[in-house]
Amino acid sequence: MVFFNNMGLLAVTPGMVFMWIIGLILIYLAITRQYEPLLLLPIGFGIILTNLPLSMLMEPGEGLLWRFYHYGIEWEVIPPLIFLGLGALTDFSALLSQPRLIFLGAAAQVGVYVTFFIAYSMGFSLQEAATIGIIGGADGPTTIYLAAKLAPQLLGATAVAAYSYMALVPLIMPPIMKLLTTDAERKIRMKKGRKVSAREKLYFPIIAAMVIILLVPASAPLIAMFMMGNLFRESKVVERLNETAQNSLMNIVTIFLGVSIGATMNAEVFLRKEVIFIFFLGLFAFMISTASGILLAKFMNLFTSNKINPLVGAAGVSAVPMAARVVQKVGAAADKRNYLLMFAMGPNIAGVIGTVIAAGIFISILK
Amino acid sequence: MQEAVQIFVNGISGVFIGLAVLYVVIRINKLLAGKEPDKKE
Repeated sequence: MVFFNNMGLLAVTPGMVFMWIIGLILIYLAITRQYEPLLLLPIGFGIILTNLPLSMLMEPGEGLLWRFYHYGIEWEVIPPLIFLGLGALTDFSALLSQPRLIFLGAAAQVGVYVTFFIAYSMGFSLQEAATIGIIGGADGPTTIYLAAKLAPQLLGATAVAAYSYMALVPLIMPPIMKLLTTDAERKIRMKKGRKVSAREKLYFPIIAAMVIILLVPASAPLIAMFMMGNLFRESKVVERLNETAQNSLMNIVTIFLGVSIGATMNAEVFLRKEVIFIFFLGLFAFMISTASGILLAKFMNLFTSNKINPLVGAAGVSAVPMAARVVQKVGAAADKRNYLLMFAMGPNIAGVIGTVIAAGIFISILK
Repeated sequence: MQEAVQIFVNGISGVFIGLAVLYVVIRINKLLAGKEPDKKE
């Protein structure tokens, strides 16, 4: 009889069943639609696991998933490690050859702050509003990092919103891009940037890390790892470290990141009306970020003869490299021989740095 | 509300200033790196 009393089956609630369905939907999207499978698959499974009653997987101090979450995310280890890998994967050439495109990455952060303001007006606390706004930066690790610091109760919802919208970039961005540009603008062919020397690429991560951290110290954990990863890449003398940061380490931390996020989404925390608002606000942030990048590109064109294709501005949304690929696709639809991918990578990478700076500013003010 | 407005203004200007400084860094970095000697075959 004791055995039957300890069965989890008897403690299942309708909320848990609902969360299993959400978990299964994410797994379905990951497998059949290939929507961010590296993240959505472990997140989906983590959701199912954490909503199995009496399993104690998220029991503070005891549960296995709690340990992953506590030491990986609460201790701020995993997001910086992801940034190490991202840095090792990033080629800054596009940004270094056309530095003016960096401002498009800044413009895309407007969506973050507009959404922050709206979320606060809707009754969320300043910390929660900042965490919701950062979804517009379209940078998963930064969203998680900021949520863990400012509003851990929103971590699961904001992370899933960020990764879901990043997966949906090919659906969300093109209508906005077409709405805000004319056919002639979409056909603008940009002048090829200069060749960037290896020495320039080697110096950049060192100088950039020092300058950004001096300006926004709260961004240090993410920027430091991002630039160190890039230094591994550009130094050409630590190929083993570079390769590990890009592949093995990145893959390992991705497993723990995904399952930990999923594990935070238990029915009691997740099934609230605020979560629906978070998803809507996150989408809104994404759309404003896309639009503001495009509009700044159009504005910059008023003052320069070396025109920027405004579509490139949309890549300031830092979903790397998906946003840049979408720019290439929409540009090619207007002019088959217009290759925008390399140009779009500039604002795309600037967007990553911009989002980290935005998060650093939030932390320095609100923490 | 006043605090939110302040964060809004500081945040947007902070991001633009941060990336503008990075723009200058890229320019200086280019000067520091100079021209690389042609690699011999």
